[in-house]
Order: sequence, then C-alpha cells, then structure tokens
Amino acid sequence: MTRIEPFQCVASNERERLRPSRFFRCPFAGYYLRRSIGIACICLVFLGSVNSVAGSGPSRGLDADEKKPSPVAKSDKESSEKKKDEDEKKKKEKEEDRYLAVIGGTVHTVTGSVHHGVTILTKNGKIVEIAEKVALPEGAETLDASGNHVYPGLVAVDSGGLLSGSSPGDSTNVYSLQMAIALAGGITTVASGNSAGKLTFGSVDDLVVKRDLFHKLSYDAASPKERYELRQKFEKVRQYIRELESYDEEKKLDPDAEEPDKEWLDGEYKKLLKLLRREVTASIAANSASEILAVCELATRYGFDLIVRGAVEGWTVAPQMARAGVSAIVSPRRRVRSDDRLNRPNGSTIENARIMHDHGVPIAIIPANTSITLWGLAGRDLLHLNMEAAFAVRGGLSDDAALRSITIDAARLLGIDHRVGSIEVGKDADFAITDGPILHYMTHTRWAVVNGRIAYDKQKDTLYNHIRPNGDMDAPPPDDYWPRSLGDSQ
Amino acid sequence: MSIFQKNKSRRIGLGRSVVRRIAVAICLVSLSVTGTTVLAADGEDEYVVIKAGRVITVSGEEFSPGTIVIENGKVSLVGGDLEYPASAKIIRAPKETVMPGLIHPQSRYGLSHYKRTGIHGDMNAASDVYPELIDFANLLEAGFTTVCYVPAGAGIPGVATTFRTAGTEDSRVFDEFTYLQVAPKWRGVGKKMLRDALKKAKEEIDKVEKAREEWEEKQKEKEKNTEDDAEDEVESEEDGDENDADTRRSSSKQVNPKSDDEDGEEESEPAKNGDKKSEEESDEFKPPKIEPKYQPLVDLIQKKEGARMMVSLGSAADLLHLDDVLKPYEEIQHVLKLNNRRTRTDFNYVVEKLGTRESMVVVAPTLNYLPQSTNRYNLPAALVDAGCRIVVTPNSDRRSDLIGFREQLMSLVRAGLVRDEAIKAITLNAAEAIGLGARLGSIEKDKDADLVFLDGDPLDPLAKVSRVMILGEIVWKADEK
Repeated sequence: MTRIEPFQCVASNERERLRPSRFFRCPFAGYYLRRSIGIACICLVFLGSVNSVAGSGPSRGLDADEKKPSPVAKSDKESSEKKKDEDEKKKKEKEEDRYLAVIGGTVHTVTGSVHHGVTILTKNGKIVEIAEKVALPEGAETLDASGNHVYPGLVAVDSGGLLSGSSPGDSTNVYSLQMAIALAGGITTVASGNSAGKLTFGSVDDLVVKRDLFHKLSYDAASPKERYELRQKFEKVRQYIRELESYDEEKKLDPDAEEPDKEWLDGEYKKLLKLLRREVTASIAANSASEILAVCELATRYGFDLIVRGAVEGWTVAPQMARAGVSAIVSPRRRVRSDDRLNRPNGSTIENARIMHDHGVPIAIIPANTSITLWGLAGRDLLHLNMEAAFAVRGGLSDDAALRSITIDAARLLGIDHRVGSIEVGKDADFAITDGPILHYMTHTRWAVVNGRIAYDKQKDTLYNHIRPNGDMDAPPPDDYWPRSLGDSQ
Repeated sequence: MSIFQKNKSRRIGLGRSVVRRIAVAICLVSLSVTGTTVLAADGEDEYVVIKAGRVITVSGEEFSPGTIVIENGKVSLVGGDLEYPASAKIIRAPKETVMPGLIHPQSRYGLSHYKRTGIHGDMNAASDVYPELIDFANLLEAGFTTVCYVPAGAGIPGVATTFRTAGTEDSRVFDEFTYLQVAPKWRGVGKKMLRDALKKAKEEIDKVEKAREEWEEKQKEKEKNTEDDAEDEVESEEDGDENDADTRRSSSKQVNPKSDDEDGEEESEPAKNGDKKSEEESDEFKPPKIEPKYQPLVDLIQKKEGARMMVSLGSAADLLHLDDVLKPYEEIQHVLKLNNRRTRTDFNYVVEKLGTRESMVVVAPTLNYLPQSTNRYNLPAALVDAGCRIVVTPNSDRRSDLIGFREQLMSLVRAGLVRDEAIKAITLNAAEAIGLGARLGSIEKDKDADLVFLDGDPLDPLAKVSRVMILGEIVWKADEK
C-alpha cells in the first residue's frame, strides 16, 4: 500500500507564484534588488542560503517536499494535462479566488512535525502556504486559531447516514444534523457505500473525492463452496493473464497468433481482473484468526491488495498479516469473548491495534458503529472516532500512530491520501481545529474547515456551544440545563 | 385542446401596467374634481359598478368607501367616489370589503390521485381537468377565483394549466401553458434525472442548429451552381438572406407551439417573394422535430417568453443541488416551491441566499420550527425580510385547509409577517408567479374583474366570503349556498 504522493502538481505552481512575497520579507532583498541585476543575483544566492537555514527551523517542516524534484512535465502528455489544469485554474481565478487563513494555532501536520503559531493559507480549498508569517491576500477570510490545535480533518473509513448511498454528489443532504454532528467530532472526510466524500456542510461543491473505493469480496468460512468458487474464479483470471502475457510475446514473432478467449470475461471476472492487476483494492471482512489467515493466504497466492475489515484476532496473527502485506480496519473497543477450549490465544484485546501496528500492519481505526447513533452503543458511534483511537492508545499504541490511523493512514487505505489526511501544501484545506489534544476526552472541535470553508463553528452551532464556551476548561456547566433550545440560535 | 382559448394579453409586460397605473391615477385626480356626475352610457358596453365599504386594490391605496367601475368584465376605474354610466348595474356592498380574488398557484383540487413519474413535458394538467365535473364550492367559499392545476407525480410530470373557479365555458381556461411542474425526488435520483433531461433538451436544440447549418451550406452551394450572371447572383443572395430569416422564424414557431397567434403573418411572407424562387421553396428548411416531452425544457433553455417552471424543494440542501444542475444553463427562469408543510424544516439555512437573489418563493402557511429545536420559525416572514417575494398557497386541497387558509395566513401575520405582504402573497405575487400578473392579482384598470367580497377584513378569522365575482358577474353568494 505504498503510494507515490502526487499532490505537488498544483502545489508547486502555487508556491512559485507566492514565492516573491518571501523575497520582500527578507530585509536585504528589497535593497539589493533595487541596485542592479548582478547584485540581485548575489542576493538570490544569499536568499537560497537563508531559505535553507530557515528550512531547518520548526516553522518550515515542509521543505522536504520542496526539495523533491518538481513534477514539471516529463512527457508531452503530462504537459498538455498541465496546460489544461492551468487553463482551468485561470478560469477559476476569473471567478474569484477564495482565501482562508488559519492563524496562530498549533499545527499537527501528521506527516511532518508539529508547528506552534504558524499560519496556514488556503486558496480555493487547497493549502498554498504554511509559514510563520504569511502575506495575506486582500479579502482573505481569517480564522484566529491561537490557543487551539489544528489537525487535518479526520477520515472515517466507513460511515452511514452522512452521504447518500449511490451518488453522494447528487442527493446528499448537506444541511443534515448528522453531518453537523460528525463535523463536531472533527470528521471531514468519510467513506460511504463505495465512494469517499467530504462533509461539505452548506455546499455541494467538491463533495465527492473518489468513487469505486474497494471491491468487496466475501470469503466466509461458513460456506466452503463459496470459497472454492471464488478460488476457481481467481484461478481462471490468473490463467487468462498468463495467456495474455504469452500471447503478447507470441505476437512479436507470429502476427497471426490467436488471442486468448475473453468472452467469459465480464461482471465479477472483470472486477477480479482489475484486482489482480492491482487497479483496485479488495476488502474482506475477517475476524477470527483462521479467517484472517485464510484471506491473507488468498491475497498472497493471487497477489492483490487487501484490506481486512474487523480483524478482531489480528493480534494473534499479526506477523502473517504483515508478511501478506494486508491492511486492517479495526475497532479497539470491540469485544469478542475468548474461548478457553482453543489451545491458542484468541478473543479480542485492547492491544490489538498496537500489536498489529508494531508488526507493520497499516491500520485504520473506526468505531464499532459507523453511523451517528445512540442505539445502545452510546459513545461507540462515529461521533467518537477520536475516542476510538484514544482507546487504541490505552492499549499501547503511540499517540502519533493513533492519530495517523484516523487521518493519513485511513486516507491511504481509501486511496485518497494525495488529497486528505495531513496538513501539507497542495492538499485539501480540511482541518479539525480543537481546543485541546484531539485524543483527549475533554477536547471539543472548535471549528471544522472543509474545502477551505468553515463548515462547523462550535460557538455558532448550538450543539455544544454551551459546553465550556471559548475553550474555558474551568467554566461551570450551564445553569439553564433543561429544557434548552437546540437548533439554530438566530 | 382546441377548446382552450389562447391568451394573448398574457405577454403584456410589467412596464405597461405601470404606465397604466399612472394613467389611472391621473384619471382619478381629474375625476375627483368633477364629482359624481353620472355620465351617459355609450352603446352596448356593459357596465357594473361596485359600491363597497372598503376596496383593497393590493397594488395601490385602499379606498374606504370605494367604487369599482367594471366595463365588459374588466376593471376600468377604481377610486373613492367615481362617476359611472347611468346604465351601469350597481352592486351595493356598503358593509363589505372587496379585494382581488385569491389565486391558488398549485392545486389538485377535485382531481384523482393518479401520479406519473419521469419526464412528461408533453403532458398537460388540462387533460385531467373537466371543470363541469368538479364542484368548486369549497374553493369559491374560500375566496379563490383562479386555480392552477398541476400534473401530479415526481420528476417532470407535465405542464400546469390555470382555470377560473367559475364562469362560462369559454372563459374557464385561463392559461393552458402556465408553467412546467418540476418535482424531482431530491433524496433519490431526482438530480440526475433533471440534469439528464436538461442535457437532452440541449441536445435537441443543437440538433436543430446543426440541421440549419447544413441546410444553409446546401443552400449556398445551390446558389453557386445556379449563378449565371452578376445581376442574378446579387438577387439570389438577397433571396437567400430573406429565406434564412423566414426559416428562423418558422423554426421558432415549431419550437414554441404557443406562438401560433403569429402564424398568419409568417405564412404570408414567403408568399410575397415566393414567385421568384418557386424552386427553392420546395426544399425550404424543415427543422428536425424536437421530442415533445422535452419541448418545455427547450423553451426554458432558449428563454422563450412565457416559459417558466416551478421547482419543488423538500429541504435546504435541495436548493444547492438545483443550483448545481442549473449552473450550465444561465438563469433559467424558475419559481421555487418550498415544501415547508411539515413543521420542522431547515429552509432557514438558505433564506439569506434566496433573499439576495430576490427569488419568487411559494410557501405553505405553516409556522415552522427550527431544525432539532423547539424554537418557532416564521419562514414566510423571514423570506420577506431577506428580500424575497412570497406566494402563500394552502396546505392542501382539503376543505378545512381552504376555508381556514386566511386564518392560517393571519397566524403568520401575528407572528411577524408584514400584513401587506401577506395580502400580496395570495393575490398579486401569486399572479406574477404564474405569469398572469398583467391580468390578475390586483384591482387596477384593464385587469379582470375577478373579485371577492368579504364581510370583514381578509385577515380576520371571523370574516367570511360573502360573494365572489368573476369577469364582472357574481358567481357565488354565501346565502345561496
């Protein structure tokens, strides 16, 4: 599941556009530039060194990205695509650029270090600059996050009732209470059905992030026949791929070579073919050790990317999972009673996520119930995604890994880590701005920003505005406790 | 369909009515000087004069007492104390209030519950409505003089038709093509359906355009082939241009079935220069047929005069989805119908947005709650405050909702809706929403004399409709019920 992160395409352009502002910030630059071109050249060299020095400081944790070879057009195709992008961008610029600056918070980039008191500038829903001092464009909306923590918006790898099923972009209720509650939980991106989308409260623009996330397979121990049939299908598709390869070779020698028969190749077979070519990722539910081993074996035998959903007993077979290269979606608070009759470790443990993570299995964390609900599972629904990750910390997982499991690692599992999951230049401007560390039980989301728009504001939304207003941890509980007026406060 | 009379004056613009209003004002001033001298009637014109205790004109000032002079079913004068022909039939209503008849902009009163889904732009509500089989008593008792019937169902079920609630058979149908009813299933495939329908309509337009281009090219080639000498060439080019113009007009005729009032003129034009090019006439441009069920959408995209649609929205998010669909088609004229009948709605989220657009919005007379709260929210009042023009429509076609309509409206006024806006919402705004603002909705010169007599203030819950007048004739009386 390692991926090259192609997010720089937009970013590098943006940075080039914005770089001059840094020149003028340098106290010497303006002076030298006014002199002559020659001196200006020296100045540039000087600036370069200044920049590199600054890069080692805490405010510029993203220099590593800048040093990467800029993805300037390598082929004609790429350049034409880039041109198209530029054209589109120009069009957008004409429409009016939308800036939002998040100023002064403690920024947890997740993929980089933690920066204190930096400013994140976003433009049209993308992060364009992260620095201690940023020249704000005219008309930029500002959000004073000083004293708060800025995290990338949380990513829920499964959800119910937030985005509409088949076509989220077409029929999602973007003013629903569920969406507001999920945003209040710091979640900005969710997978729903087989697509991933943003919780764009009050807007339907750029809602869908990705379609066709997984190919869901069933490999149930209770029906050996089904398992057998699936293996047979895999076998057939693998055979076809081999025939196709040999046909390609043959064709070079003999132009009349016969193409392998592919009439049968449709529906399920086509999906399996995509799977074996690693164009999509499979997702199979497996909880017991034997089930997990069975699906790992399947994945290694036929060679496809696999995500194991559940993985309650993953801790007992973590080395095998790591060797098979599978990922897991786990719920640390899930309980399965151990069976004493089995002569092996079994059942659930709070250490599950930690053990799997220690063995190198990429994990994403999701609560046992993936909707916003209170049906007998209070505190174990999607509203408490951060709490679920905190329980993994209770089981020994590091804070850092727990945060990753609900941000960048979750995004990587969904194949959308080039857009969400961390705070980096070029990525989507999705933030959960909280009044404390996100894994702490007292922490509330102060603002949720989605696509560079403030989608949730604790002080304006009446869901939690009465609880510790303005992040005052010592504030007494409200005395007008009940009945209180929920809903819009206008 | 031929029984429906075509409505020509529907296209009279607002500007002219303003001019008229000024004209009326001038008349009033001049007449007030002359006093109540009774003029002699001229010829066969039929005059009816209403001497009412109070006249609510809606568009202008109130008169108490007031006089309305009606000439051949149309209001010709309104004022405090006017002169009128001696032959006029006088209706004395000293204790009554007269106001324009109420307009129901979206109704299924007395119709079956048959519903169709999908796209049916070729369907018309008129095909369901047999006025003589419907007992309009409830509507009349509630003060409605005009009712707009819509085809039932989800998607684009068809075109709405406006009827009078009483009157002669000839005058019954007011406007056959009032608006296109659009009620997508927003929580399901509605957005996709609407997007696809508009796309299809656009394709139909492109099809006609392409065919015309091809035809023009062919025509040019022909001209080149037939050119003999310089003189002929010049002439034929001129002909070609004229021909183009003709075809453009004829194609627009084809596109808009409503515009056949102009048929006569158009057909005569090709005949004028027809003798010159009898050859060419044989292959005159015939635009490919547009699929009838997309015709109203084609009219909307091409911004044909009189083409309008009313879009039903179930919740605030639906407006965003609608905007998303309509984005590629610049400013398709539409009226929004907010289904705020359920007491809890979240339209409060988009009130400001609607206000900045000064939208025409149809709402139910419901005092809503804010979502997930016990806070009352007066959606109609909030819309007015934000800058919208509102139309209030009864909650349902049940008798209780029709008779209690004014009372429900009154409850909105009590909760903050501006009184004048409430009256406008059931008369003038309703008329303008369905494109009949030039003929209905207020008591003004040249507007139809479709009036309601009440024994009190229209927003007094105890006041009852005492008489209903349609085209200058009393068609319903409370005591003759």
